[in-house]
Amino acid sequence: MSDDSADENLEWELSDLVDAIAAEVDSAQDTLSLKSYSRGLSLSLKKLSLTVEVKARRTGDGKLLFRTVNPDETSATVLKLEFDQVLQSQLMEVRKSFEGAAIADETAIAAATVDDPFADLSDQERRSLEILGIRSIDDLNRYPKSPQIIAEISRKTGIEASQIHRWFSK
Amino acid sequence: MSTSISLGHLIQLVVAELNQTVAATIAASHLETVEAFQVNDIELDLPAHVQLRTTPSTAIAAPLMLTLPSALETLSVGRLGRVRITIKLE
Repeated sequence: MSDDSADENLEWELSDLVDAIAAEVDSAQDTLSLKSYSRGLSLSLKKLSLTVEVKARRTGDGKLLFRTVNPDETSATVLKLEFDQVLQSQLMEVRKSFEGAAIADETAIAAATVDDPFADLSDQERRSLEILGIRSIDDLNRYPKSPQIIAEISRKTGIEASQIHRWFSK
Repeated sequence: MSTSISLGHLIQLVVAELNQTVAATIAASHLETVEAFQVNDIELDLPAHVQLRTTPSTAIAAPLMLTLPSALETLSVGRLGRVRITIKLE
């Protein structure tokens, strides 16, 4: 492996790695699904396991960061991840709803694409929302709309409670 | 010389390749009157160095790159990780 690839070897939080694996698997499944129209598909991914040797460190702000070892390194820390296929019934419980008007006109599509309610947030605020699983207004609306919840989200993210309340009202 | 490939691309290649083979096997078994064994699950266990790589845009998830060791190279001191992919017949 070249030094360049060692330089590109990122440090990550566990969620970053899981996101990256999920994105890779989704991308592969999407391509295979598309391909199935022309070729038919009789195989699919059932399980994925990953065993990686990593170096772990805790940062000053409390994050736990990992980095996989480069070929010339070694570490006593081994991370094992197993991904199983999620059943449709399990998926339904957490699936986001993307259903809207049956026929989308150009204005609606543009609004859905451009209208990012979190556009004005700092990276840190956006990230703290993501830690709570909130990437959109729909995600936020899964939380009970109570003053206690708004206060708790505000405390954990550093975002004004009034702002969170406005998002809830959208 | 070692080879790098993203996890998603590797899955695509393996599934697409196996799909053709298994489809041909199933088609052949339909033609024969005797019972035939059929592939059910396929498990691929690969040694690989795993790296989460940087991307030019933060909007795109960093690709998870696997570097598969070359059989012609002597392995360096570090240990390899393993990637196990289980594929099932639909």
